[in-house]
Amino acid sequence: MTEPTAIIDACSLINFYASTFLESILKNSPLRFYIVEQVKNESLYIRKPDESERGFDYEPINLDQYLKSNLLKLVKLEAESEKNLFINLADQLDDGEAATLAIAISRKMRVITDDKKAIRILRQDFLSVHYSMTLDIIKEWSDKNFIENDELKKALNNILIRANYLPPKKHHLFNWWKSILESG
Amino acid sequence: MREILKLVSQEELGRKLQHLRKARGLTQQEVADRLAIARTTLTAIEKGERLIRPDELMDLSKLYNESVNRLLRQDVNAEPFVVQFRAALAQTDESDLEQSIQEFQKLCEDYQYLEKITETPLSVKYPIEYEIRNLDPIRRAEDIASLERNRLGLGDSVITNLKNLLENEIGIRIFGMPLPSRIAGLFAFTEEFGACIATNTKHPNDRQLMSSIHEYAHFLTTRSKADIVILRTNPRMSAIERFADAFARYFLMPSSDLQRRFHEIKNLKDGNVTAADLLALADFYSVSFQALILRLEELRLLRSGTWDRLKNEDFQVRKAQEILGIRSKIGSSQYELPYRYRALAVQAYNSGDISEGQLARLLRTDRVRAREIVEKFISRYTISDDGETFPIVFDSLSQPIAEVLQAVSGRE
Repeated sequence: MTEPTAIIDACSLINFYASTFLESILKNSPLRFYIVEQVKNESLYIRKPDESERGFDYEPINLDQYLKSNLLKLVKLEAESEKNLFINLADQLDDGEAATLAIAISRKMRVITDDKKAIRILRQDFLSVHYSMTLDIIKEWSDKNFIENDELKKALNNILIRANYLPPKKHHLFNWWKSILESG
Repeated sequence: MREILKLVSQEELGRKLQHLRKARGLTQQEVADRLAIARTTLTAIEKGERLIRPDELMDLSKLYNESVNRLLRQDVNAEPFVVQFRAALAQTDESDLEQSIQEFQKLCEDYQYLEKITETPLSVKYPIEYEIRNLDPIRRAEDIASLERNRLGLGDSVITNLKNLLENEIGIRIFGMPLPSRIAGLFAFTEEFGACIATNTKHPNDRQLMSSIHEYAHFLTTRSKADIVILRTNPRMSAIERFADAFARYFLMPSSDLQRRFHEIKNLKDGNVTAADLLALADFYSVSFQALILRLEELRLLRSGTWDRLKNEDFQVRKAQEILGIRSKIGSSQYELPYRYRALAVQAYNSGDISEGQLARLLRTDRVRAREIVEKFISRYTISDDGETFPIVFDSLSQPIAEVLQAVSGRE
C-alpha cells in the first residue's frame, strides 16, 4: 500500500522548522512529505531573540539534512496539465504557493498550508483537495507520539516566537493552542 | 478555473517580456537559444502574435528572474523609467544604476497594484510648476521654499515626518531603497504613477531627507524631467541643481526660525555657542551637522569657512554625536517603503486578497519579517483606569505570554 503524501507550503514549513522539532514531525508521521523547488529556492528565515533579548537575529532555513535523508522530498512540475494548472494558479498566488497547490491538485496530495488566500482558492475551486494547517499537523504529531506537554508547549512557543506565527481566532484548534501555551 | 493565458493580453505580456529581455541586455537570439526555441517564435511572443505556452513562460520567468505571478499581473502600461532617465543616465558612469531605476519602477507598479486591489487610489494635490528660468536660483529657492511652507501650513515650524507630509498632502510617492553609493536620489514623473522619489537607504537619514527635498524641488519646477542626484566631491552644478540644493536648505531650515533659535542659544550662553549646541540644533532640524554649519555661514551667523576649518581640524562629528547621545541613524541596505504602501499591503493580506508569498515580495522582505510588519499594524485599543485610550501594539517578544494570548483572543 502506498503511503499517504502531503506537500508543505512555505508558510507552514517555516513554522515546523521554527518549532525545532521538524525532524521528529517528519519522521513520526504516517505522511510522506514533499516540497516544491520554488519553496526550496525561496529565501526563508526564522528568528531568535538576540543577546540583548530586545530584538531578534534572523537565520536562514537550511533544509539540506532533511532532503539528504529523504524525510523531505523535492518535487517538480512535470506534466503539461500540471504546468498549465500552475500558470492558472500563479495568476492569484506567488509562484511557490501556486506550484504547491498545482502538484497537490494534480497528484491528489494533501496540502499543508496556513495561507488564507490559498485555502480560499482550494475551498472555492478544488473541494476534493484535503488541506491541513500547522496546528493540525502539530496536534496529530503530539497525539500519535504521546509527546509530553512540556515538549509540545516548547514546540508551540518556538513557532510563536521564532516564526511569529499566530493562528487565526477562528481556527478550530485555537483554544487547544491557547490552553497548551497557558499550561503550567 | 480560468485559463489565464487565453485571457491575458498577449500584447501586454509580450511587451513586458521584451522590456525584461532588453533590461538584462539579452538579444532575441540569445534568449531563443537558451529556451531552445526559434528566434522567430520569441519575436512572435514578444509581439503578442503567438500564445505563449506554460513551459515557455516558466522558462522566461526563471531566465529573467521575475515571478510568473508578477508577469501575469495586469499593471498599467507605462513607458519604462529607463527611457525617461536616458539623458540623466548619460551623465553618470554608475554601472548598477539602470537596474536600480528598473527596481524603482517596479516599486511604483507594486504601489499602484496595491491601490487597485484595495480600491484606495492616492489623493493628488499637485501645486502649479514654479518658473525659475533666468532668475537667481538661490534667491528663487528661498522664495519658493517659503511659499511652499505656507501652502502646506507649516509656517516656520520644524518638519517631523516629511515623507508622510509629501505623500499625504501632495501625493508624491517616496521610497527608500538601496542605490549605488554615489547616488543620493531619483525622481520620475509619469502620467500613470505621478511624482515618485527614491532615496538611498545606504545614506544616513539626514542625507536622505535632504535628497527627498532636493527631488521635491525638481517636482516643483521641472517635473517632466527625470532626475538623478549624484554626490559630487567637486561640484560644478547647473543652475537647477543649485536651486534644488538651496531649496532643500531653506525648506528644512527657514531663515527666520534658524536665526531666532541661534540667537536664543547665543543669549543663553553669553555669546559662546559651542559645537555641542550646534550638533543639538542640527539634530533638532534633522539635518547633518555640515548642512547646518553651511546654512549658518550662508546667514552670516557663523564666519565663512567655519565648516572647512572644522574639517581641517579633523572634527569627528559621529564621535561628538555619540558623546552627546545624539543618535544619527546610519544607512542600511534595507528598503524603507512608505507607511501607506505597507498599510495597503497588510490590508490586502488580511482580507485574503494576496497570499503571504505575495506579501513578502511586495514588502521586499522574507516571510517572517513580513509577519512582523503585519503584527505591527494589528493594534488594539484599550482604556486605562483613568479613561485614557491607548493602542496595544502586539509584540510577542517583550510581552509576557499571557498578555500575548489575551491580545490575540480578539483577532480574526
